[in-house]
Amino acid sequence: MSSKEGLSETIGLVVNGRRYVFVVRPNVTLRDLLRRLGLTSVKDMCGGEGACGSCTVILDGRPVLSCLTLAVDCDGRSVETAEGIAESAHPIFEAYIKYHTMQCGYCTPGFMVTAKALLDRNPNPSEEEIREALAGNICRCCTYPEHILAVKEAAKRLGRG
Amino acid sequence: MAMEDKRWWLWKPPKEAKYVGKYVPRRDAAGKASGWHKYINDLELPGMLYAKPLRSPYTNCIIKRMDTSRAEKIPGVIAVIRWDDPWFKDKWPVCFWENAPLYSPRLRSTGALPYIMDRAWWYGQPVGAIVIAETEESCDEALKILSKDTEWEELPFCLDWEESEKCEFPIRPGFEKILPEAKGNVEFSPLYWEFGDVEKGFQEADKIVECLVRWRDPNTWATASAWTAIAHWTGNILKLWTDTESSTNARSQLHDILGISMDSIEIESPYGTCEFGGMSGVLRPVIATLAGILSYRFKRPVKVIDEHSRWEGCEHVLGTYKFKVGFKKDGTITAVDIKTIAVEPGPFPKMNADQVSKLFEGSKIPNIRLHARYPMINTGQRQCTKHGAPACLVHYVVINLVADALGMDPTEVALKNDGWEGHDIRWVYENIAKKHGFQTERWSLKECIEIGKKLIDWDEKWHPPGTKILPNGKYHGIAFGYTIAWSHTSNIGVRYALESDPHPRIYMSLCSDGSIKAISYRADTGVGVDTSYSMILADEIGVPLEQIYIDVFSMKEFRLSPMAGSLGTSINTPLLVYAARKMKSKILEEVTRQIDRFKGKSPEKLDIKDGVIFEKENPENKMTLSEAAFIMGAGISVEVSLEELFKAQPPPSPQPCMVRQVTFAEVEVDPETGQVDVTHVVRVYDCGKVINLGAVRGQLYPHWGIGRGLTEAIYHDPLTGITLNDSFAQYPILLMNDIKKIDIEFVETGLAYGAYGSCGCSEAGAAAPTPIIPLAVYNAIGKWIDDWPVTPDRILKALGKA
Repeated sequence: MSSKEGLSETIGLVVNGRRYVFVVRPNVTLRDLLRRLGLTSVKDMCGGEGACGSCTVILDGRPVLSCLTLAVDCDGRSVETAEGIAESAHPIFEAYIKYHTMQCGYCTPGFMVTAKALLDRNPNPSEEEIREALAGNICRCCTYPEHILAVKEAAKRLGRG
Repeated sequence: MAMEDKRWWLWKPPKEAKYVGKYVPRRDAAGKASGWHKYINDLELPGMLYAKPLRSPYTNCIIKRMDTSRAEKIPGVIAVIRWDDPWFKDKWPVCFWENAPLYSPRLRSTGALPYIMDRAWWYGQPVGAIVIAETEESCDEALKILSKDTEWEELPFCLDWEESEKCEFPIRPGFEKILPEAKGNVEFSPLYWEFGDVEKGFQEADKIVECLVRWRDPNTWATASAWTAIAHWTGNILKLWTDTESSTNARSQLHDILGISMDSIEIESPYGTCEFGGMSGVLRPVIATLAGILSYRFKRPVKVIDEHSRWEGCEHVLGTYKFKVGFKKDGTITAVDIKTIAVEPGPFPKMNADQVSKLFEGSKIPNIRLHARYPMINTGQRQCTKHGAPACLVHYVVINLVADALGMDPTEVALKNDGWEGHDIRWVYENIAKKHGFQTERWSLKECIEIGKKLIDWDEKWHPPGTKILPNGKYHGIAFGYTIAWSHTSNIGVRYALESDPHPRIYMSLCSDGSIKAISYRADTGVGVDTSYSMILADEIGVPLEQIYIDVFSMKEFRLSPMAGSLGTSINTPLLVYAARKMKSKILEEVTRQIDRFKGKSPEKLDIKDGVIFEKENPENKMTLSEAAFIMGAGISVEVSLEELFKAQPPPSPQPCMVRQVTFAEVEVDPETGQVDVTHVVRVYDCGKVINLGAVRGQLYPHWGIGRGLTEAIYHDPLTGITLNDSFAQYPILLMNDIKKIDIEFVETGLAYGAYGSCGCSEAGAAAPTPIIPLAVYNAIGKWIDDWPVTPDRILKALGKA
């Protein structure tokens, strides 16, 4: 339900459960739009090449690279960021705190969002499935093995209801 | 308190320690996972300007003419500052080691590289001008135009350190004005370093073998975020936001350049982004210094963004290594001769015999010689980041070369040659360690090897090179290497700490709610400083972790050791434990004066556990620290300095390295494609005493180090010299699935010189695993590959298939 005003478009977007209306130019990415909202979990490591996974958000239930997603294409859709996952106290957030899933932590929100998207569609993933889901995220500090522990822990807690 | 013995390396954590040595969640975890924590590049200040440098489009060039007028007219551009700007002429910041002479104008004339010059010696180097604008977009637009409006004289270049000395053209024209030692195309005069008598050692040898390693394509830093700093000059205070580990470097430069008091420069360091070691400590402060200068000049907050630098340099002393090793039939090494042609850190002091440092400090080899040449080439700056991969290379290769020549198990060769500076490890125990009070029943290397062998099933799987093909048709390879743990840096740490300003000091106070507040600055690029330090304080004082608040983020007059990781561990843990014990003593003294139920008791008869003060012989006589603090008020504090600690107990000398780390790796090599699958990596590390189990485990995950030996390389176009893969899309960092299985184990012998007998481990994941993959590939295919990293094309070439 977008409306055009010159080069800009008005779009409606639900971000972490809250409704927003934005006027955006067609070249603005979803990442830039979210960062303007102060949602700095949406990182920029690779300069918008879609290479690092640090800007991952959940768009209508699917993990997407927000640096490669145009904001105008998100009209009427729903976005979840790491801030939203943290606010909801989802088990994946608790598990990411419990384990050393980070050193510098710059990439961590992207990992956590990707992991949450995995658990949304597969509440009991195997180690292979966890590895596969997180294989597109770069961690220069190399904390990869801790993420597997965290996702398994979150799955266990989700399974217990 | 247990302060009678002043030898901090012999101190033990409290018997009922709840945190030290345990897997404790990080204090920064929620903020980092959620995105609530703001990194420097997330921060925006009202009215902030942005600054970016012009970058060299050529690999070697001089600016002949620059017209800034069009760039200056771009909307939002405030200024374009040229290298020869009259105000800035003597104010460009430089890169230098923190322990260079401070406060001196000589900083900018003794081998230090100015951030902006009229020439560039590598592709992408900041050159010519800085653009200051209201927005990043205006900066970018102006820089595009400025590059077009600059007339460049393109010069010949050289990327091959083996060829550069023969070049008839100057590789870095004008470099000799910055570093007088530079002659022709040689950066430093050759280094000749000899321990013992190498020729005599070769005469005593039963056999001599030779080997070549060329670290042909350098790996680079590829840090998570662009190098960024913010400064705000308020008229009398300069506030700096920087995540460099050596922010005092920026502070002293700003004092030197602007003439403002060091005390008027306030530093805030939010958590940084994986810029570990010298790269953070030496190169990054330039960005912070520049931000300070620009804010002072333009009277507005300024954010400097240096996007490309994370792709421009690499670990230092990468180059060509020629090995000649003599040994007895039983595997005892009698002589090692190494000739290197290696590229050093750019215009910094050369690190004396760094290439053989780990072999020297971790073996009993009586005769070692290094002949090093330091040619210039046209690539970016070299600086240690997760320091030590070349020195680990030397250690691993020497041991494996001997084992291979004798058909011996390399773990046996390692044990046979373990020692320190020419002495057998048992000699070290008897003649030094025992005098320092250490228990010497345990042998670090032996324990590490035994654990590692079991984890990788070494006795079952190890085989001679090129002799095992798996059912899937791939070659199976397995390898072992060992080197010293990072305790050797304690001596260096002492020196850095004592040469820095301000000297390491910590302030601690009891708040009226019973919490303990500790203040001492120490930037954290990811190792979890505040968590580890809080764990020590909580256990030592006897309060829950939640009752400790440590502010390591602001630097005013209190700071810990300036340098990172292992250096910090060596200095900061004794200081923290010392301060905590002093604080506890003071609290207990005060309660015997001020709290009725404890009045008249001796402080020694009291203790604190779980935040409760009690009488040891009558535990029912107790009171929470919170209640006591409320009554006493917030007046109890201690302040301790490194000088005080060292006055009580001078650091011992020498401090031989007695702790070890080992790496085992297993690979499968596809003979048709040259593809290497890393199926299992085992790391066993003796850090003397584990402080923060989760943090040290994180430091040991080996992907960075394995990647340096297997995939990570920056490639340059041979015709233009420009960098071809300077992006995360192209630079091959290892990902989640690139190592199938990892085992990390720890040994705690207590044989190091930090508090509790601990040492650092911060470089262990990125440096020590690096040489293991070329060795494992050799074990798989039976052909030695000279050129590293061992990429598929090189493997196929070795197999005669390319």
